[in-house]
Amino acid sequence: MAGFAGFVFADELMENQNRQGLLLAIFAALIILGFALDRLGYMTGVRVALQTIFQPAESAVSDAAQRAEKLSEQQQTVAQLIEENNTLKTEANRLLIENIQLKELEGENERLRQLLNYTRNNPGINFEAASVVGQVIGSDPNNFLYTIFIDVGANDGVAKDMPVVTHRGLVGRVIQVGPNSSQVLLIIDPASSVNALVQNSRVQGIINGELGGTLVMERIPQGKTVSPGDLVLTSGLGGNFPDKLVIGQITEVFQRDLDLFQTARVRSTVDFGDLNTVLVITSFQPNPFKQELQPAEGQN
Amino acid sequence: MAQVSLSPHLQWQSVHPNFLLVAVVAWSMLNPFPRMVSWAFLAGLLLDLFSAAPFGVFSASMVAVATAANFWFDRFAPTAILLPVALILPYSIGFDVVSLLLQQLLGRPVQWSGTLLQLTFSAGLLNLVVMMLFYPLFQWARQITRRDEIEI
Repeated sequence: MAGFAGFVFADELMENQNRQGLLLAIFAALIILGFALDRLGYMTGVRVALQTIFQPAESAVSDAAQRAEKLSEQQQTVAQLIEENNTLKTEANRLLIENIQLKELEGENERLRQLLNYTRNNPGINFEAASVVGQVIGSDPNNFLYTIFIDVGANDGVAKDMPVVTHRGLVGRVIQVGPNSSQVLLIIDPASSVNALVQNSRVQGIINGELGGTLVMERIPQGKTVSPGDLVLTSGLGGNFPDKLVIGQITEVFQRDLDLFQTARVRSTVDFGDLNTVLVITSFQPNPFKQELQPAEGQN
Repeated sequence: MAQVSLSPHLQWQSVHPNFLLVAVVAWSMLNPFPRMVSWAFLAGLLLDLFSAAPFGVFSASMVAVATAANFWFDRFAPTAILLPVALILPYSIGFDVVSLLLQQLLGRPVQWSGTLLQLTFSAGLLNLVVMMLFYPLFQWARQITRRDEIEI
């Protein structure tokens, strides 16, 4: 009898294990199918549809969370606010002077370009006339990817690959667009690359995101001088981003003679931990790679 | 919803908790395999659909972690909170390692040392706090579902 009970138990155990194995196999097949569909681009519609459905709720939850954050921030003492106010006034004065100098340079640059009969696809970017303001309503659910969701989409004129900025500098680019929401890949994401140059020395490099939300500028040629404190801007090379957008400031330079290139750590001017409102530059159309390979006019 | 819209506002050391992972681990420890694996797959699917990572990374990672957590089903008293709280940290690290490995295999750049030291451990500690707060909820939900099963 005990032997018979043991036999029945072993039979049940094997049946359970078979069922578990079957379930795992089914889910593995579904995952592989989903991955294949994603690579072929069919999952984009599903992602967009899901984001569209959840966008109103995301906006509501995000608003509530931001209000709760603001309430806690109001607990700061008056003395702290006065000190911060003074610091900001000093910074604002410095930036005002710098802005005036930059405008002078911009005017001179424009005159020189006209003299050289230099044509560009985008002679200038008017942020007020050609941008869309979006509120951040969510972010990537994972800690290793840096993307955000904003509440503007195709209905507002947003398209894939459009640059996203704040008044402090470059934020990222649009990677997915729905009717009323979009997903933005931040420049601090390891998968993001931005062609950049150092403002003072005009040295070119590539800004890549790093884990922890930091930036590193790579492919800086040996022999070129870059220093902590130098401002880093977009170079416009490749046509993926407009030029002259502020990225950040160099904080540390790593140079070894045996390396082909130098590397520099860059602190972004944008506070990615406190992103609430962004601008999508709708007047800038990123150049697709294949256009750059077309022959010039007059050539075979 | 909490994971996408609310979780980023609960950041600590540049990381935020993974509510879905905590829910899946707790549910896997309290339920038999067929019931919990479906929920684990669904949770991973939602992460995949809302994330910029290659599709399937989080579904596979979630099912793997849920299967490992299910080992404890019927092996501990469901009212004991200590075991789930103690296990969520290694399971969080395991989930992150599996998902990072899959991402690297699928071509996404991964910085292992920085990730494990800076992000994974901190995220695991946050998940531990979330488990302490929400495990009783899952216990209660499990009791409700078991009562319905018995009545049937």
